[in-house]
Amino acid sequence: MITTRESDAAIPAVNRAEAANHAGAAACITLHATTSGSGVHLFTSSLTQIPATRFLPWETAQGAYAEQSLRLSSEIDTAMTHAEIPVTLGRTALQPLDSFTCPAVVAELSPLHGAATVTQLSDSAYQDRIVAAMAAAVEQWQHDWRQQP
Amino acid sequence: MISRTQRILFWTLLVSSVLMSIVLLRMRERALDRLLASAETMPLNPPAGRPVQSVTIMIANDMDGSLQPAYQNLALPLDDNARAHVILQHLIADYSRPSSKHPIAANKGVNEIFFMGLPADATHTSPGTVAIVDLSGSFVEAHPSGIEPETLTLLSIIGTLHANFSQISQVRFLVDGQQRDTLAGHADLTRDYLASDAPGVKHL
Repeated sequence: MITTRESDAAIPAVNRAEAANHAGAAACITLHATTSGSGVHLFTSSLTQIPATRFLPWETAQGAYAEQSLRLSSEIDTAMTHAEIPVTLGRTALQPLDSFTCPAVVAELSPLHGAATVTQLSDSAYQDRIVAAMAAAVEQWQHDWRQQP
Repeated sequence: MISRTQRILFWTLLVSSVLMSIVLLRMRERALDRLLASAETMPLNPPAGRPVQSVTIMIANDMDGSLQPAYQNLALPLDDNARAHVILQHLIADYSRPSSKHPIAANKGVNEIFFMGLPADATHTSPGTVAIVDLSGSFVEAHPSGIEPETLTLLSIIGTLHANFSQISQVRFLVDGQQRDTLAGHADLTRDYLASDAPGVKHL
């Protein structure tokens, strides 16, 4: 596993895509946080599937992985649902997502709104649930990835 | 040695040039004043007696990431650009209410909207009209940061325009007349959005 942000310092989007692409990653997950909404928002690129070729345009490289990204998103969605974390699914135009040459998903974490309470993102138990679900999803994806041609 | 006649001619031309420059600058200022005055008096508030029309507004909900149509009866101006402006101002005003499920602090909303026809040639795969939405800087500053809220705002604007103006096939965003990278750090404002990007859009 390669992480691209080890401290609270802004890293240009293009550098993150370069790191992921040079690593030949089996899956790329971009983590974000927001105060809006509830649970986890999963996004994949709004690009449509294009044939994979040796050289891909930087701005739309993710198009070659659109369907695989949707499968990865579905894997994370399932794991979050098992952890009883509400998930909203969507597609978005976001840099550097469209430049990743790997199955890629954006996971945006937000506070958990219950019937009467709100669990903030700073809650360690909530964080643990998200991390456990994410790890289970990646493990499942790794298993599925090995079976792919 | 320069003759007296040439010196007189030189100074006459120089003074004339300066005077002409001053006159041109003054005319330019007057033209700008007239332009701003006409923009301020655009018929955003429809004249009394205008028949009320039903419009569809696509309302975003942060809790479930959805867009739901809401129907309002509004008295609208005749001009398409002004009509679109009024409809979007209602949409954004709705988001500034305390009960909004997609809250955005009070702001000036949209500066202007322009409709631009796409030329009918082979390079455009989706013929129709491009709507250019010029957002105000105060709207962008008031907007909460986050992929979901930003994406929902754009989709809600696109969906609302497409629901009321079926000829719109693409939407482009500016901020105070300039291109900007993102809405509030995430959603891309440099690309043209297809009107079909907004889900749940139904034509009246």
